[in-house]
Amino acid sequence: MQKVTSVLLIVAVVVFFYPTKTVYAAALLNKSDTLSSQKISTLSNHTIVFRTPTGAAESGDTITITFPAGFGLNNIDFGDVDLAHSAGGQSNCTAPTYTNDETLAASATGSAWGFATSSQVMTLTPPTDGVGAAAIAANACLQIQLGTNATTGGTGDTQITNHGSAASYTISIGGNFGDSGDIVINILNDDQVSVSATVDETLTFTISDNSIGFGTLSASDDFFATGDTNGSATETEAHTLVVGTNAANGYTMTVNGNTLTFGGSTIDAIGSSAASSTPGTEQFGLRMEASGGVGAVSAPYAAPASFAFDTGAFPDEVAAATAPSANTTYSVRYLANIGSNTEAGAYTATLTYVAVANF
Amino acid sequence: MRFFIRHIFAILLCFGIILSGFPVDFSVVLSRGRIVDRVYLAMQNDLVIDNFYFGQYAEAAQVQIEPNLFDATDEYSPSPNVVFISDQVGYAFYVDTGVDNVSYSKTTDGGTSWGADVDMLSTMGTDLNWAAVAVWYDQWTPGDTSGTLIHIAAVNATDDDVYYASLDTNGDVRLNPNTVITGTTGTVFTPAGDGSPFITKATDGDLFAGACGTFSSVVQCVMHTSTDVGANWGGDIGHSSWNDDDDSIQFFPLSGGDILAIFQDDTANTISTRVYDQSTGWDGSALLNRALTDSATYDISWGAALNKSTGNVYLAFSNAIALDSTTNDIEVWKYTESSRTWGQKTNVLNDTEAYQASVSLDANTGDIYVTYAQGNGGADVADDSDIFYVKSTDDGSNWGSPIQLNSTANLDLWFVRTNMYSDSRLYSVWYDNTGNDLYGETVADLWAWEQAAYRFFNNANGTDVGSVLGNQDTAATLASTGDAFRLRLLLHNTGQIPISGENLKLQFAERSGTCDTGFSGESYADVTGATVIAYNNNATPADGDNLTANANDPTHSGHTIVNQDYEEANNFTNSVALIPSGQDGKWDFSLKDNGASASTAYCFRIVKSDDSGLDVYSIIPQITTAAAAGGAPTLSFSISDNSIGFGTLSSGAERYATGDLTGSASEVAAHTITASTTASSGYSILLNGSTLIYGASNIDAIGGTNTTSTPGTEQFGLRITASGGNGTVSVPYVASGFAFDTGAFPDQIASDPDGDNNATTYSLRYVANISATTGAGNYSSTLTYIITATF
Repeated sequence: MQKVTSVLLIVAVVVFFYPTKTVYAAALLNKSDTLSSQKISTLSNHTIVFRTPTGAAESGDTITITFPAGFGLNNIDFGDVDLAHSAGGQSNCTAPTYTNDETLAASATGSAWGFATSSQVMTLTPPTDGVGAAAIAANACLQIQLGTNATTGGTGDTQITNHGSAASYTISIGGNFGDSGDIVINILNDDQVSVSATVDETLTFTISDNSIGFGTLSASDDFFATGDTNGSATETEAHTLVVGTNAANGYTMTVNGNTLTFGGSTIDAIGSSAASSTPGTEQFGLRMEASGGVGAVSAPYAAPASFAFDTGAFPDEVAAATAPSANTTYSVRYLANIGSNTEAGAYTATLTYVAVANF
Repeated sequence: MRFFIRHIFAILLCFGIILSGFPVDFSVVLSRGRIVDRVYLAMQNDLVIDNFYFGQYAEAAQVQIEPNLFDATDEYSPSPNVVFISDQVGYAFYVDTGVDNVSYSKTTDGGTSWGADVDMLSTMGTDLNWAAVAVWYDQWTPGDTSGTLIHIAAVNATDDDVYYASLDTNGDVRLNPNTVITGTTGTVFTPAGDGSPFITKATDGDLFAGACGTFSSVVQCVMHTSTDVGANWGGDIGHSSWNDDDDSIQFFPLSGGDILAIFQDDTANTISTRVYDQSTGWDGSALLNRALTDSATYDISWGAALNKSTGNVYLAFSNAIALDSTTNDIEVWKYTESSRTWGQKTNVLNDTEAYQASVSLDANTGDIYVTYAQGNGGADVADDSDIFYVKSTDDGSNWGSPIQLNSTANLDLWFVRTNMYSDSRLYSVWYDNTGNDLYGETVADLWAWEQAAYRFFNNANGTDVGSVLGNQDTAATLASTGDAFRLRLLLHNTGQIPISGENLKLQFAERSGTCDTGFSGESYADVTGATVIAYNNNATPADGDNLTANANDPTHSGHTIVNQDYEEANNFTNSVALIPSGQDGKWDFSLKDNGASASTAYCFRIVKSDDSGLDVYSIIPQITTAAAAGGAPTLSFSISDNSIGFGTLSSGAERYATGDLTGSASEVAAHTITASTTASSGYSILLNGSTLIYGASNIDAIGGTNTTSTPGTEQFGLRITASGGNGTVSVPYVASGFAFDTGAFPDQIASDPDGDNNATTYSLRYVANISATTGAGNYSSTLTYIITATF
């Protein structure tokens, strides 16, 4: 009897000291799930993070993620999943460095974690060596990405469909590794805000002075029009035109009218070729300079110190912009010369400027 | 029998292995620093044009210890008159007016306040016209680590005797009443004209005391010794050259029972030293022999201190005591006990109006503090002087900036003295000759407490704790609402803290952001039995019981842990045992969730009982209360309007989105987002999407910098305000301008630090501006708001 008792005692002691893993079931810490969309019935990625006080370092240490009924797992497979984890000993998962990116496969191999779904449960099974890239140490942070945000070994192509009803839902994490915990997510009827704004079409066009004049012309000197109608012996700005638009193709500005006329007499328009001032010879022409915006003076009115007045092309383009333009100010200068035989009289001309936006 | 032995052996083996398998905690060595805010003050020296003294005020204002001194001008001695037996408990001795008795005041709060004068009538006689007093504390003598007596020598002018008495600080018992050291017919002692008493305890325990005056019709300084703790005194054995009644002497114990006497000859105007050997008598020649410049007003200008650890003595004196001039230097000399030689250190001051000095030593570091009085350059130094101290951390080679101790201006301040040597507090006292007041202030609080390590445990009805709630120095979460729990906390210290050395208390605060060592955002309050985090009253142990150590207790850098007690109420102290320098005290706080919000984090800190902080906070314990009843964590999130609009934009005016899509010319909330959670770490809200787009055209997003609205410039941005709960808007969306940081998308726009489940409503304001060239069209944007809770 004593022998039997001794044997039993020895067996008991041996069993007591036999090296077995002690499972410490603990609550997972720092758990979160970030969705790419919280809208009902919408495909969404999930980024699940948690800290495991126990760790997972043996081949039997499965990790399960259970989604509530109503979420569509859509046959998500290992190609749509990333599993990464940090070193152990973390005090939180605010900004851990995920130093270990595990390889996943449909089933666990010597070095790859297995991933499978059954109903609403996803199961991650450790490699058969229990380690994989690295054992998940106690207090390591884990990051599990589900959906197109999984990029290890290729980008995932399957996302999870959100529940069709707006409410809070609990995703449960558990498995044989011993730790467990829940994460609450919100599904909304709409998690988006649509913002609208209208920008109207605009065209700005102003003429600074509608009445200009040369004063009295002379065959011996050139004259330039001024806003006070007295004229000037030197080139000067008679008035300005301002044009701007938000039209996608800018604008076009044309001039129309006639040369200086008195009864049946006229002062010859310079024509389509820009020409410099020649006192003693009849000339009526204009030139422009542009500033601001992206508008530009068109030929033949853009040449420096030369003037043109192409009545043959009227209404003739004097300036344009090919894109939306802030206001461009065109400085317009007018030239008049007469010959010694130019008939006396009060000559006038009426010029019409038109700006057209090109939307 | 063998069967039972096997059983016992097996069981013991099991316990042994179990115990040896307990986890071992590791801790991180944390550096410590001392942070003291000081106010800088510049004081112009009128006598030296363009020369400014830059002083600092000490940590606290001066304290009036006694308002009614007998006659300040007669009370000086270079020997100490103040003793601190711990950081908090000190005694200051003086001659009180009225019945003119030697008296003392006591502080129990580190010199912040002092009790009423306690006269020494029963020991020193009644109304004897007492003059100066000198003291020596047992533990100032090398080798004495447990003595509790303060030895007192005093002289009076009525019976012309030199008296001895002692005060046992263990119970404040006055001993050896009315013991006459010397006093014979023909003795004439004149307080205003004669010198001061002095006393010390030699390393062999004998007492040496004396005074300068006229004794037995002879003008001299006398020295007597007692071998029976002051009960009886022998004859005069003073040196023959001590023949002036106005001289001053200070004694120090040297090795082998020898005595070092520092002697100021008021007639020759010199300061010199001699060594007395109890076997062979006085040494052959005086050392040091420094010449002084006399003053008719301020005869005594010096003081010295003994480093008990090394046996070295440091002497500071003003080498000229001329008033209202700038010719005085404060010299510092070191007596090296091993060689018994003097060497000069760097002068503390040169060419100033400093006219008195005293030395005190930090027992922990050996740092030297010289306290001195200095005129302010006015017409008469007696009308305007201040008290300063300077510190040297390199044995007197260099000195720090002066720090002012007194806080009352335009007084005639005299006779700075200190408690000479301490591992906990150095304290200076000085006389205000204007009002015959005694003032004092801490020169240096030498105990540096560090909140060093912690661990949370489950509660247990005993002085031991339950199972661990988390790792050391790691935040923990309670399992259930209303849970009791234990906090075991280590306070590391420099400086030896005697039993019950300092009163401390535990405070808590709801976390704001993080439980940070700067307490940013938290409002701490004392833990009581009624606060939401409250002390928990366990049935069996009582507040103040000695704690029972636990194998899982926190540790700190391998330091020795001195277990203290179990606490159920503030205040607390190290009532179990003293804490030697460099070790840690451990306390066990019994606490509970007393109606705190669910899933809410609380921070803990220790402060002194006067609400002043510890010197260093390396860790801040954090506990999070359990989730709301039912245990199910919650997360709530809603968007008030999913469709907003600006209407028609203009390059001439800013436009704000509205819920009716028409927009507004003035800033308005377009919609709100409301969020709450019980998740212990709160939530964050993210924004994703794009700026306003029409075909290939877009309106520029403002970006990651908060920017004001600028009409005429393309801008699309967002700003958010928060109300309710403790959720906060994140940068850059929180300022008065707008931002839209697409480069950071999904970008955090708001967060909540805890799980108090209090809803926060965020008001979102959107701005859009266009330029003159912004393409026409119907622009739109889709913004996605995501909330993530961390449980």
